[in-house]
Amino acid sequence: MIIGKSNFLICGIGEGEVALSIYGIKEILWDVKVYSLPQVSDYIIGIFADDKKLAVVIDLVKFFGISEENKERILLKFKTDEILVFLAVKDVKEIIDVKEEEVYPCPPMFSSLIPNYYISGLIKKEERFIPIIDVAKILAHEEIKPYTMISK
Amino acid sequence: MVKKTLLIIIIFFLILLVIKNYKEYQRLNFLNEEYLKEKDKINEEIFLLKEIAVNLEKFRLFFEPIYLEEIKKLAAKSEIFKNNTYTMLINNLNYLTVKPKKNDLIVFSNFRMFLAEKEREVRNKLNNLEINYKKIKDRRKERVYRENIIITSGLIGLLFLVNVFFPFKTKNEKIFNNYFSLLEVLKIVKEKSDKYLEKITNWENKIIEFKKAWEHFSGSQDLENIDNYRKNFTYCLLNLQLGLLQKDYLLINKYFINFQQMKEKILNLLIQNKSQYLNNYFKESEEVINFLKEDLIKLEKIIGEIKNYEIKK
Repeated sequence: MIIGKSNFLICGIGEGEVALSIYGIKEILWDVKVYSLPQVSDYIIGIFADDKKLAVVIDLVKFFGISEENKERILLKFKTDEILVFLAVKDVKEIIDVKEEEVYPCPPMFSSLIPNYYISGLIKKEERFIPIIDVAKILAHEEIKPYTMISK
Repeated sequence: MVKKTLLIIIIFFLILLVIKNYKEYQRLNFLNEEYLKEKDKINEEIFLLKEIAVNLEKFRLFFEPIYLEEIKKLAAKSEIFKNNTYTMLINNLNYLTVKPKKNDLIVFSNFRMFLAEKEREVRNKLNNLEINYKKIKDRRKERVYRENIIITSGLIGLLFLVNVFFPFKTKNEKIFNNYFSLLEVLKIVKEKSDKYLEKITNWENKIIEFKKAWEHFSGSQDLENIDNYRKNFTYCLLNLQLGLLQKDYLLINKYFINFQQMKEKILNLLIQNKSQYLNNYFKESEEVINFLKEDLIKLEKIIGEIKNYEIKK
């Protein structure tokens, strides 16, 4: 839920696009090398070091089970006081201002790929409907949560 | 609008109160002047009565007309003797000079009694005047004091409300404003950059066309470069925008340097690939770069200010 006006990052995952609140997103990284990790879920595509801190990279394309291979690997650095994680998306298109009245509740079965649980609303912008992905819910996923804590 | 109306009403009442307060001050001063005037008049009257009494005594003892003349002169100055009923007393004295009756005690004693009584009356008047003056003065002073408190509280309240409704700019806010103006500049830069990227895309298409038409054109490396630059440029701008929205000075600084370097690279690429066929595109692109340069100067100035603020902080 947004009050007043908020900014969202419009990212491409697969063929579609999703919106992520810029809250917590500290940087957009591209042309980076991700080191793979053994014996982890396929959406945890590896590990990346930034500011002398290691963090896992979660591929949102794979997390939502979208079959397309995410070759570009644009990383979004998500950091709070306790969490550091990188979210891989296909590309980042723009940062938009979204007014409260432009956000609609998500109807049931809006997307066959992204479960409604992870969609906190729909942004209507110039004849486009963009689902807002709740990053907190992704990071609270039982398989991801242990990897997101900042390494001391 | 409501805030402004409220402030105007408060200011209006404060002005009314200040005017009232000023008038009260004036009245207080006027009262003081009036009191002093009246007091002087009464004191003078007492002095005259005493002088008349002294001269009366001298007249009684020496019976010299000169003292009677003095009494007349003093009586002429006195307000009390202006009343006709008292002229009789002077006439009695005159009568004594025409038909001297030395030691005519009744005339003198009447006159003395009259003088003593009048002096007592005048002194009472003085006392009453002082009491009344003090009473009115205290009352007015208290009113002025009360009004002063209301005006001071009103001014403090007004200042507080103005600060709440229209916050004063602190240094911190100035920096935020700089961020906002930086955001404005970035919007302009982005707008121009979008046009610029569009031109690069056009250029890219032209190169493809060119390559198809003239196979000897060795631009394959350039195509890749252009694509890379376009991507880098876009992400660099997005990071700048992200930094500005989150007021992340480090991120702004990092990508601002990146932005400058990239601009130089694109400029070089344009110069390297200059050919007659693409001349118009280069020309247009250079114009855009010139606009970008102007915006960069603005950006540099604002970033410099933010840096200074960070250092001072």
